[in-house]
Amino acid sequence: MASFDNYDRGGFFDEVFAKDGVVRPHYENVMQSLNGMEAVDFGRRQQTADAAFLKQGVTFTVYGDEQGTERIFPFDLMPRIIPRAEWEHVEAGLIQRITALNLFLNDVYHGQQIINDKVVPAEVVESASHFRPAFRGINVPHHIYIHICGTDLVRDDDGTYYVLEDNARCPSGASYMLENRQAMKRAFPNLLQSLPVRPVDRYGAMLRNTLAHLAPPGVADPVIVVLTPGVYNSAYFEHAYLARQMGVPIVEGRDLIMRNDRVFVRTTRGLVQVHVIYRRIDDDFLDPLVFREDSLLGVPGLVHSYRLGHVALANSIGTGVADDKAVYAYVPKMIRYYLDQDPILPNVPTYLASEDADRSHILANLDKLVVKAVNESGGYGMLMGPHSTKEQQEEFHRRIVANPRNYIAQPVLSLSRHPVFVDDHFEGRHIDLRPYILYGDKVQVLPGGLTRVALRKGSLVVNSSQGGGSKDTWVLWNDEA
Amino acid sequence: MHLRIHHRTRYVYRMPVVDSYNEVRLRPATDDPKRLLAFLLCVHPPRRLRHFRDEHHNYVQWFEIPEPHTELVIDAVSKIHTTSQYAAGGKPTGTHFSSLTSGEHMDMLHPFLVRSRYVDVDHDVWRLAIDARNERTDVFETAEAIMTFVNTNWVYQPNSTSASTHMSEVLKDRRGVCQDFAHVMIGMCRALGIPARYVSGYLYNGPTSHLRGAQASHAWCEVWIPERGWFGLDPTNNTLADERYIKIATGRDYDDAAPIRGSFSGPNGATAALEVTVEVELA
Repeated sequence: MASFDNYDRGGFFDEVFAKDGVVRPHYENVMQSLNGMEAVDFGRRQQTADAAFLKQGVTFTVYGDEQGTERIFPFDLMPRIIPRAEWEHVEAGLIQRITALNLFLNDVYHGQQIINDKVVPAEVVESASHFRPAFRGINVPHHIYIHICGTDLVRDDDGTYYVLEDNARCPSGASYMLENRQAMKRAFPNLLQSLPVRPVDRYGAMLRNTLAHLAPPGVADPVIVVLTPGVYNSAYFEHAYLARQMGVPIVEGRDLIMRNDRVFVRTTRGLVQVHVIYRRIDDDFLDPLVFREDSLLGVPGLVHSYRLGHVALANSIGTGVADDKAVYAYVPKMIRYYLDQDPILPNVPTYLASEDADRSHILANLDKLVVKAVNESGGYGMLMGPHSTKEQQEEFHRRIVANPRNYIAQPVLSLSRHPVFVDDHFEGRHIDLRPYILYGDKVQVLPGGLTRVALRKGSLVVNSSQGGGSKDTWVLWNDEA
Repeated sequence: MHLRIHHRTRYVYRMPVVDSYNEVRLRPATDDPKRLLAFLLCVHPPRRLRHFRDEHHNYVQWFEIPEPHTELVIDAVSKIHTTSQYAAGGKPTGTHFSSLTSGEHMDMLHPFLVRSRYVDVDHDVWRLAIDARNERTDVFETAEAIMTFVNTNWVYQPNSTSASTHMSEVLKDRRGVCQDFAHVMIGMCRALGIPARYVSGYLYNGPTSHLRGAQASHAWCEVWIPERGWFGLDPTNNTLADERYIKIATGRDYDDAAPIRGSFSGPNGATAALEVTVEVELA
């Protein structure tokens, strides 16, 4: 296929081609196979895969779009490949990180040693919007708070992996990762089989074991359910998919009922006690008696039952303090504090407007930095320094001075790129990686994760709602394919 | 070899205990990140960990649990790339006994030539060692001969001894486990003037192992060969410590290299159960 003839690395770190244009060893087999293929053939396979996604309803919902709300998540057939040694580094770093985050949560919801020892300032924790001071002193099963974590990683122009953010509440996307692999098996059955690619299909079983581990003591065969906000939620496909993968019921709040401080699910055969809830509802909506009283999605009394230990929740309540954008800046310090080790995966350097020295630096470099509002996501409340106007910079200057705790700033990273198929040839697009970490009896990282692609030319935004797509991620057993 | 080790130790107490303080030696003994790919210790109840280096340069982590608890779980997971120290240069033979007295570092090696907490260096041991040596003049060949001597003349018998069994008892009863075999070999080497030290660690020998100590905590010993360094020999299995051996800690004897050492306040007999599981698998 001549589709790589005019491929432009664009001065970025390219996952496939090294600086001199030579194919990296772990991509050699895949490139050979693509080179022996006509562009039309590749295009046909791409169309078949797209059609399959649509038919199976692998969709997400875009709110506020007149064109119809159900979209397929665009999928690019060329796999992203990670060699063994590189993955081992990433895996070790993720396990270290989730371990430290859990120690942090256990600490801030108990004795707060890390605050007393002045490693993390009290204000940073207390002002985090997802910190739940009411949960101090409550013991959660096995002292684990984050059972399922999706951590977003990016690579800089020298290929170094950085942690961009931790998703410690309800990380989504695992179902796309699983479906992407299915699509690749259909599109390139021989290629996938001939290479030492680590499988991902154990995820359902691993997730189930992780949840079962949380069951109250003495419950040998726990009843597990997936709690969804309902069919109109953007990730409903995923909720249903994971429930099916685990072989457990999917329920809405109205399907659950409290009896004698215990949670029961209504079934065709009467009430059945529930032991573990994989909740895909935010804290705020979980229980109208404790959090938002206008919530119709949750179950009144659920939190009380959780406190008493009759039912387990994954993830626990209040985990959002660990993925707060200002708390993020302290994670390397946390790792050193709790584990007495150096962080394996670095953070993106982060300046906190709440710290005097950092604030001066931010205000002096508004034209170079990315400024983010701490309590907003999805690209709102963000200033992209190099692409901003003088007026926008002045506006942010005012906002930062008025409310420093709400702003952080980071240098602009030049994310790594990967070829994606566009019409009849390949072009480089920016990518990230979201691996999934499960913390049950032990900590496990599923090999790979969801590689997200900013499909729009030049774009850095990988979110599905804003023109992002995905790729299958192949972690190799070896360093070469 | 790429190996993954999961070592879990669980203490269950009949009633809540307090003021627990623990020191653990569970990290593979290398600082090379190309060898030690990952190491993480996890403690339940969750605890902040700190570390120091002891006098044998072992990596020691410590933690305290002052509040009441009825269970303590210590989980260590390592991923390591091992090679055999014998792969490059083969056996370090060719060193005559005479260089043991004249070589460099001999003053630093003094602790490994004399008696220690669990190892005796007396006339009985010396007589055995002389027999095993059988007039050899090569240091490493003598160490190998002692290894084989211990392996053939002692009976491996699980639960016949305890963690605090002294070598003198093992000499009498002629049975024991890997720790005891190592102590006997160390004593015999020292009696002949060969510096010898204790190693605690793990042994991988495939999923269906017949070697003793495989898939569990293991112990063997190392002897000092002047100009060449320390070399590992396993008297329990009569083999050289090759790439299947993962070294955790070293010391004069078990007392210096015990994986976990701790104390707590509680009534007599508070410990209801101690469970140890070790998985060593190819990664």
